[in-house]
Amino acid sequence: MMKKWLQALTLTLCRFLIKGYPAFFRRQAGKEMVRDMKLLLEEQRFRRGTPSYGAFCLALLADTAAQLLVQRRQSRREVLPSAKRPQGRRRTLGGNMQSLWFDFRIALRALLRRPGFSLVAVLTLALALGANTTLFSLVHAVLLKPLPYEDPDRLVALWDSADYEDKFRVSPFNFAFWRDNADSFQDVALYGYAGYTLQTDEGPVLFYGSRVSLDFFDVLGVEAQQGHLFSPDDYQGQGSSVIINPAAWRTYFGGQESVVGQVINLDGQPHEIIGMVPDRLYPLSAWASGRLEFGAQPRFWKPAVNLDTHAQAHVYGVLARLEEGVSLSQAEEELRRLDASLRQDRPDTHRSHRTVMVPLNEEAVGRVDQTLWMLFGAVGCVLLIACVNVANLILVRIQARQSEMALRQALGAGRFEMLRQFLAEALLLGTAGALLGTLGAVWAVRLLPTLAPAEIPRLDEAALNLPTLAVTLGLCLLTAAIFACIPLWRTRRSSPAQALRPGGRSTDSASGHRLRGFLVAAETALAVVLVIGAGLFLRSFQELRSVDPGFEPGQVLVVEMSHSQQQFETHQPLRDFYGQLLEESAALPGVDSAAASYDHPLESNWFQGIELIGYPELPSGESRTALYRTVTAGYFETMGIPVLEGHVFDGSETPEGAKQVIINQSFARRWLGADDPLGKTLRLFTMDGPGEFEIIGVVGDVRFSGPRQPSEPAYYLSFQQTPQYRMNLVLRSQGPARRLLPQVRNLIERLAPSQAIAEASTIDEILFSTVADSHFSSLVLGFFALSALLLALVGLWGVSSDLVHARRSEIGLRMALGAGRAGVFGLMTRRGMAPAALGALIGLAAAAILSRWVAGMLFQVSPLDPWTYLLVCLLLLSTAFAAAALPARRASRTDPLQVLREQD
Amino acid sequence: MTEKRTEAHEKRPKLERHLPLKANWFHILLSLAEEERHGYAVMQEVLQRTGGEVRLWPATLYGSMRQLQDAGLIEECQDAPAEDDDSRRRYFRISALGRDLLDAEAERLRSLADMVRSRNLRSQAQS
Repeated sequence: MMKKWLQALTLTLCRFLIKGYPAFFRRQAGKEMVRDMKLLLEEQRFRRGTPSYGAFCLALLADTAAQLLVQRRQSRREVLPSAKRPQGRRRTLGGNMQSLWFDFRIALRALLRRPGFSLVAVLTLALALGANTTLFSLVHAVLLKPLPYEDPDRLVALWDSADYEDKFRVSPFNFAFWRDNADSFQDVALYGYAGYTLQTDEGPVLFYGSRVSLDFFDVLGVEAQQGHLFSPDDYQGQGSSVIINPAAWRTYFGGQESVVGQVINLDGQPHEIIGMVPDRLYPLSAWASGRLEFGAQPRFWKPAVNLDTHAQAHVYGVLARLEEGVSLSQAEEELRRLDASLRQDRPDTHRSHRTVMVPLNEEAVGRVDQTLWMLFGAVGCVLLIACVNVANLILVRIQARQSEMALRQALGAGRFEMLRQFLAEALLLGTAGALLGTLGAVWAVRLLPTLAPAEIPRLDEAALNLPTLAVTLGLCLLTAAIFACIPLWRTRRSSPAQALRPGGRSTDSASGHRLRGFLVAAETALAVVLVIGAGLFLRSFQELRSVDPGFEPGQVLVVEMSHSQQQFETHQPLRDFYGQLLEESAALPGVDSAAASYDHPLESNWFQGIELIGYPELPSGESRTALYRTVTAGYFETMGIPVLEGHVFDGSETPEGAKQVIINQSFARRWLGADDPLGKTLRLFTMDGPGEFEIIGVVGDVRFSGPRQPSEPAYYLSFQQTPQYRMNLVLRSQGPARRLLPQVRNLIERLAPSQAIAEASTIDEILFSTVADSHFSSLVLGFFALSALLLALVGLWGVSSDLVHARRSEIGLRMALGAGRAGVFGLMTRRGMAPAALGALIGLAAAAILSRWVAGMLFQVSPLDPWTYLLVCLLLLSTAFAAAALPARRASRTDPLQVLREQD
Repeated sequence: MTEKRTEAHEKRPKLERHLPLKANWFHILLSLAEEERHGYAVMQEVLQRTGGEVRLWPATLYGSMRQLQDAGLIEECQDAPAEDDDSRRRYFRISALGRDLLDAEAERLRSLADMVRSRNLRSQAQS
């Protein structure tokens, strides 16, 4: 069976190779050769004791292929008289180059003779290749390029997990446990957020960085660029050594040569810069949800000391490097064993503990890979459509060039020579398109990262580097090869004699039209898929924007501030500072109301465990948790969060008085059920230790994690009773909120001269950033879809015009026989639109199947959303009608007399 | 006699151009020197004669036969031999020039072989 299959394959391949033999020889000996080959293969198949049949087939193939070259060379010698042959053309490199140069010169001349065709083809290819280059540079930078650390495949991130949350930050206790017990890891390191006020010559600035354990840089495999890395001595005392990155060195220290050894002031404490590490993407802190935050801006690192004081605080991220030769699954297995022992030994704190291990490159990319691959797929479709369009143009040109090609054939050009000529033309088109596209990509690669959501890491590394250009070159060559083969294939059966006859009609114009109709249908189908995709993403974006965030958006300025304990040694000065700040800022012109909160409404911090006094404990393995906020009086009014029951803080709360808490609706519903929440008591853990708080009010839900996530239970504490060192000042303004910033800066500078403020933003900007990924996808996909639609319409228009042109005499005859203008218009429009309608149908079906893949990226929009499908259909058919109607109108105005006269 | 000699002298450079004869050409000419044959028969005969040592694959065979034909060393027979029923096949015969070339090649090989032989004898005598 196998041998029979091999025999058939070999024969087919041999036949294919023989097709490449010079026509004269092929006609003379081709059939006989194939018959002999078949006989030989048959004989060999039934012969016993011979070596492998496969080897025999291979030898036969190799012989046929080798003879192809021999025969071609020989026939070339015979066709070209020796006087005309460039000297040494066949044997020397210079001769080959000369012949290549000759081919390209002819091709260039042919292309310049038809500037319209060449321009449209080059622009179409430039658009598609440029878009592909841009998108690939993003995909390469974000998804394909390895992380810039030593042996990055061995790096993993470790997170905690429990039954109440899948993935959250790690406590110092767990870090130490893994470091001391897990044999699968060579090194384990801890890192956590740090933000300090740095005193510079231009005033105080907020300087962000990371508190790290001793092994942090070893795990990443980073060496110091200047100075040295942390040593155990740096972890003595309060840890006042600092390592900075070159961005910080340039921004804050003016790029001086002797930055190592310099003493800087962080939060009023002297720190010594001991080294500088190369500019790379370092994990800096971890989000509450257990996601890495990477920073490439000015950053510093300092030793994480006194971890024992908060051994159970889940506020850190952990990185580990796998031992050489240890696989992920082996490490996973060991972690499962360690988890079990922790759960057994420490049921009080690790009742449902589980470790989550994620490869660092996966962690860095997060959930953006799906978006990027989808966009890359879309851009691939655009390229396909562009190719189909150019192929279509080439087909039109073939009809016009039929006599030229026939002449070449008649003068002895073989198929190989023709292929070389077409290849030269296609290569010129492709190269021009690729060059123009790459120029566009240079600009687009700079533009796209500014549109992209901040959560796509390493976008700034996107560049037109070697791999990207190699892909562009590859695509260019591939498209050129396809374009070169089309005319060759179309002319395979054409007879030079027929084409050269005066008034000779094109050989197979009907099948040419059919082919072009099919191509238009294919590109319409692709365009429909893209437009429907873009439509779905646009609808999804609209839905996201229309979600009620739970507060009143609008002109609200959010100013982030961080204070140190050195600045405010006790809580009272901090309260006084905020009391005065809020009072004076509320009095600023244009400000409606002012308040402050720990974490702004769209910042999701981590869940805290709570106890409800008078309520039984939940069954084993479950615990009550909620997000928390600390707010000042006037916060709910400023943010426009409705008060549903009871009352809110009015500023009269005192640290010594009864502790009060406000809960949100989700809290009441989830943990108190139908009970009246007012007057109930919660036992909460704050910075000052555990305490009992009375519920005094219930407020509306806010979507803390953005519109995609449902509201979570949350409680609000009074700033008067539990002050925080990091607060956000929120100001509702009557006019544009950003205009308040200079006044606010002046005010803060006056009240606390050493206070730095971070970049301020408006609540609308923050709200937008939560849907920026959806905006990015719909914008980029929309652009591709529009390009695709435009290209498809151009293709359709071309085919319709060509159809009208080819049937001119038929139309004239019809009209002479009494057909009306409306009838001719209708007929030609119908014929012109037929491929578009077919393509639209195929596209709809394909979109219905493919859209399932993006269902996870859509928000409250079904992948089969009927409105989107209907609208896209209408859009496509109406534009297709326009594209087909223009040539049809021209057809209906044909003068029958003139056409008939031309016939004579 | 003189005429024949002149003709042979004219043929010389033509023949010498093909010498030494390519192995494929040699086997094909030798095969056709016996009788008129078609391509497949030549292939089989060579395989058999050389005990399976030399196999002329179809593409090489027909390529070489085309070259031999172009060089006027073999000719296509207009009628197939009576005993053959496969009229679709083209039969070939060796031309007079081909025969001369085969002879010249045989002569060349013989003189080479003699040379080796005489060298062998001398070395044996020396030892």
